[in-house]
Amino acid sequence: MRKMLEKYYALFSASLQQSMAYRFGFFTSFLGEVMKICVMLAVWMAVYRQRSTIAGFDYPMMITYLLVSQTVNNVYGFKNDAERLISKRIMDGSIVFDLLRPVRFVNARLAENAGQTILQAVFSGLTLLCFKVFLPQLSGPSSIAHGALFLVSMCAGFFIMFSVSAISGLLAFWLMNNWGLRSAKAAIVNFFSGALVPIAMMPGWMQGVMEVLPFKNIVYVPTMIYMGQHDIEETLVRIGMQILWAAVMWLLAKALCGLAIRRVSINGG
Amino acid sequence: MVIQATGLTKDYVINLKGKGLKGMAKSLFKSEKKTVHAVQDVNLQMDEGELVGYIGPNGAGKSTTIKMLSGILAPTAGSVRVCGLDPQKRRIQNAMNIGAVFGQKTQLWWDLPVRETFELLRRMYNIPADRYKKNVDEFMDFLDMGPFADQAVRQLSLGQRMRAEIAASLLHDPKVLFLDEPTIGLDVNVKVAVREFVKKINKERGVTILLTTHDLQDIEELAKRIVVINHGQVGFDGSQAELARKYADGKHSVSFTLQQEVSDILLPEGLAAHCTIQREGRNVKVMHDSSVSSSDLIVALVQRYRLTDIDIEGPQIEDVVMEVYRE
Repeated sequence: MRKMLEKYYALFSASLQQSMAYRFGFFTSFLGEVMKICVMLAVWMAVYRQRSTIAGFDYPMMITYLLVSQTVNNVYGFKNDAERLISKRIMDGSIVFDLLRPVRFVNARLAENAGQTILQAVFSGLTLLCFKVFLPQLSGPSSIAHGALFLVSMCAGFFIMFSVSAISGLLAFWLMNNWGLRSAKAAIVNFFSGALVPIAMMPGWMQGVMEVLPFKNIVYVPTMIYMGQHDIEETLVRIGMQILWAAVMWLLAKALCGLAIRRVSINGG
Repeated sequence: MVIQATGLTKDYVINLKGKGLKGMAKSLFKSEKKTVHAVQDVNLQMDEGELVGYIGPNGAGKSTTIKMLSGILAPTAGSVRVCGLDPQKRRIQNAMNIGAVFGQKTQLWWDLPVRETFELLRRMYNIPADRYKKNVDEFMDFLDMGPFADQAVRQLSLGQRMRAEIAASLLHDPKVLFLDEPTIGLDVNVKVAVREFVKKINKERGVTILLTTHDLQDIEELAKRIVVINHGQVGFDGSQAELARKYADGKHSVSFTLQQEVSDILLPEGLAAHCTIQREGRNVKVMHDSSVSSSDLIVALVQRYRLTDIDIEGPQIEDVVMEVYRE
């Protein structure tokens, strides 16, 4: 067991190291994300100049929701890396070396993705603290317990996000190019995870759809836990649901990978 | 038996794109499919410590065979055993037994220094510390990798990178090594270094090696046994000498210059039937098959004519291989 973990830990640290090798690219795209948050802030500030609450969200709550949900989103990967990690290797044929190693393909990509995520988590967390300095309305986690459970919930969210990305990336085995799929997936996840607009603000029927889909577990659920919208008992139920979804999506990704490797050819000689 | 492939077959289904805009539009909805037989009914047995040259023209199925042997591709039909394991079904265990270099691709981590890549491989393969150190020291020394071991892989020249690739494939002491065009694009010095290294690994460590290459000098120097694949099928499997015997008949020749003009070149009865003569003024080339020895021929010639500039040529491996590929 220790030996097995060592393999994946090696990949985790190599990936972290590689992310740091591209510091400049990392910072510029990170800066881009911060600018995006600022634009969204400006829009919501303008909206709240006219009204004091929308769908139960007052101005400080909205600021908190926006910043926390965007932070969560950025922790998972503003560069959509899990998916690129996989589809690029399939398309340029370098997957041969991944299959040559004594590691499971999806597990190995998870370890690599986690390596990148650590770096993203550190920077996104620091940025959130910076925002706190300029925007006193941004509140911290509603209690220590909620704060701790928020972190657990985010880990579960990471698993779901990774699995969804992995599934979409693995489809490159069948599609010649999954660029279109990637953008479609990004749009769907952004919308249905609640990363753009809180689900509570959607019309009733849309909320129904979003409740059923797994995507809300990626961003919306952790953010609501942070904000203390559920008591501890309900929070635990929500996290339980997240873990269930994480397991389902993970198994789907593994199954798809097994199928892909068994039947599909490899590009480029 | 380290490698045992029986009836190995791999078919690809390819979508054909229609011609022009109209065809393209049509293929959006209904694409025509074509089955390509990349590898057909290949039988390959390799004993421990053997070094086999696996050659064939581009697209013959060499890489596809190697991918099936290394567990990367599933065969359409047939069975494979590498060190007694089915490489596809037991991919992880098989990975511990094999190493591979694909000359056209890199297995090194682009942004990591060579040394770090090796370290990463040590952890992935759980290589014991003493073995690892011994291997790294030996490879670094033999392949002269010291000067660039701390540079990121993306900054290496092709020759440096290829040396690192080969070293990387051997760190975990694999029993079997697949070398798919390891000398492609290398300069003469690096080629020689790579060949020497492959020879050494094969001899000293008894690693079983399957080598594909388009550089026939690699084959001539390294592989006692040659397997030729063409259009997905094995066309020849045997020693270099047998290959020459089978395909190089009539490829031996004796060339010389006549000191005096003669009207006709006459050879004794026994030889004439096996020889063809090409003449251009005083320059003559007598081509013969392998039933005639060059020395007999020269003796016969010297007895009749006055010759200078005698030049004996055996079959060139290039010619032999071209002959095989033509089939």
